[in-house]
Amino acid sequence: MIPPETPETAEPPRPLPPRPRFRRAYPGPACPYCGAPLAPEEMAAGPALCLACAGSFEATPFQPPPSYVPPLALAEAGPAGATPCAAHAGNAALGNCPRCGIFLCALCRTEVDGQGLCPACFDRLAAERGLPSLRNSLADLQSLALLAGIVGLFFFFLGVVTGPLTLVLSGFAVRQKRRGEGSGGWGGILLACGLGVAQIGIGLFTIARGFRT
Amino acid sequence: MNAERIRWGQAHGAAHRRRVYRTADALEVDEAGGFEIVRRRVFFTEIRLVTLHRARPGAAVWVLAALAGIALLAGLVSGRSGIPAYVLYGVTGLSAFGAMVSSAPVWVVTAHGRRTRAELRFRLRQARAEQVYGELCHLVGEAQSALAARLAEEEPRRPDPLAGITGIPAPPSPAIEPA
Repeated sequence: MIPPETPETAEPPRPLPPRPRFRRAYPGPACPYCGAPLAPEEMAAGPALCLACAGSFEATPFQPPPSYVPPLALAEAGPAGATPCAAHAGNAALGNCPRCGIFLCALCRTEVDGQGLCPACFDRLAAERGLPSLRNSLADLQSLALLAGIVGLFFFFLGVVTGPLTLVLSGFAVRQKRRGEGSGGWGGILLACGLGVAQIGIGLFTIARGFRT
Repeated sequence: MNAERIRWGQAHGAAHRRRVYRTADALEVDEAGGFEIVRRRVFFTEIRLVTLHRARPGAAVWVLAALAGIALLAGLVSGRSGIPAYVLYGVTGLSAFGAMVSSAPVWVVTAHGRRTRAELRFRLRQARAEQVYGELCHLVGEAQSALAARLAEEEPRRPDPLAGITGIPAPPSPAIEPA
């Protein structure tokens, strides 16, 4: 019996990559009126005028320093600093990784959350969500609590279910805000709490009235 | 996340709500769309330019003014009394109020960083905008000079290759010729 021909190189179809959100690239410092690019190096602090649109504005230019120290070659370091980096044998080590202890040069060290990590530890902690400053996407629990509160009012006969749900979401929003992660003021959370309590009251009243009739 | 966040301003758009907070080392821009908050940071040590300007009124003013005019005309056509006329007069008033609010002066402070920017809008609050602008410039200047000093400290000392060798005269210091 001849086996059915199967192409040996057939690969399972790859899933399509997620469609990227449309975002306009950041062009750098630009005129606040027309968006024409500006060169802060050529500007002085004080009133400024855009040459493209003649718009006037107040400007203060800065020259940020480079954010890293160039690595020092081992040959240049002298006998006192002759410890090589674990990844770059030609570079002198600046110190150790606080997590795994390997020697790091200026190229390997990543400053994040007040500690200078090696690339492997950085990757590991980032994957484990162990670096709080790398989190840049959060659930908007306050808006969710408000939505539950408003939608629950339309289904007032289910108030004993939607009311506690609103209160629980408000509690999560309070916790998020106390951790310094939430966005917005306390007004929305208080409003959601009020809506949750009102839903519970209306729900209990509806049930009691149903039993009476 | 940094717990010491101070709300400094906002820049709401038609589709997004943006709130800007000040932390110890950066401006944090929280952009809420739907039920997700996306956070961006503009670090003080990366800011290249800070600007303050008065924004020009956008298209919303003209759209709302046109809506107010249309609603007023429709109300006049439909009669001076009755529920439809009252509704149309209400729409006229609301649109006119919206147009008035939209045409109010808005001062904008923008911090242009290396990778992104933060914008703070202050409607009818010029003094607050100027205060925030001054404070931001002060913070940026302080942060950048502190970073420059730290980098200068961390800069590895490259030893003089002739330091340990005896018999070689030290290089002469450059003489300053009188003009």
